[in-house]
Amino acid sequence: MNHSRLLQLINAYGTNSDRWPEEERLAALQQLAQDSEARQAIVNLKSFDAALDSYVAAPAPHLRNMILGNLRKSWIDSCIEWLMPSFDELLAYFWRPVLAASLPLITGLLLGSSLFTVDIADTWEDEIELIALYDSSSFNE
Amino acid sequence: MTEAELVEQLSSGDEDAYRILLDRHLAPITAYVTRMMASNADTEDIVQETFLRLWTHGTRYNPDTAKLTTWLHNIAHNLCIDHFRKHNRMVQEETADEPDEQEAFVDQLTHFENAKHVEQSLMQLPERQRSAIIMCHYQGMSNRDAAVILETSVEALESLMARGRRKLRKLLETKI
Repeated sequence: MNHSRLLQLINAYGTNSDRWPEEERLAALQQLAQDSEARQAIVNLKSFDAALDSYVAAPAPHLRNMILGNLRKSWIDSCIEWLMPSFDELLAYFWRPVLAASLPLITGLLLGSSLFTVDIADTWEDEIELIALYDSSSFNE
Repeated sequence: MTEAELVEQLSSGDEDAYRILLDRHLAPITAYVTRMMASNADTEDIVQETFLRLWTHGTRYNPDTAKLTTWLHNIAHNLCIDHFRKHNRMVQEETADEPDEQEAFVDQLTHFENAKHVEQSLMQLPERQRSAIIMCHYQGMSNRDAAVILETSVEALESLMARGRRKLRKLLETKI
């Protein structure tokens, strides 16, 4: 460590020795103790560093929830979220199992109504035919 | 559990591990991006994208080559640069040195005014000088880690910081 290197450190890393490279810090501090020009440089730059330190970036705590909300969801979570988008967590905690349990029932009803067809009597003649078990071909003759 | 182990858990979709990492790194990454972008409206998008990449590309992180904070800073830095390029806001690197002035800096502003001026002045620096100062001065990053992110040598990084600080000092002096 010499005078020139110490000035380089001060100009690059600033007046706070905590920011100087760790491996050179001790030697730099020893050099500083006997280097009046370097000490004067630190005095001159102190207020500049204080101005830099005054700039504190504002925290953004709301980002945490936004980031967690953006995570890729499993398909089942996506389905449930699609079905109940506005439920808060506590309500969803109770409703999700209920809804999940009722899904097989709903699925069964839908399948049942679409797979099995029932002859429905559309007209009053059809109804009579069905009730009386009358042979319609002889009636037409 | 180490950070490397937590990152490993991410590949199996472990949200608890992700939350721990998010809580550790959100504040410094937000501070870095905020200073790089000067509280630009896109700051939040860049922070979100950085952490989304931790979730989706966490397996690419190699704990043998870098600390997780360096890896995340690297992603955030590249996203900031992409943003500047897209919006033509890149301040080109200067090669000429500023005059070396060592005059006493008079602190006459209130804390808030100072902070505002520092933010504005930082934005007037060439991007690499700004990045170097933010990483080493504000983020407390080691010179080696900052040099890796900026893909340069430690000597070149120190030169960037010295030139950046000189210019910043001149800019701030004109504002008080």
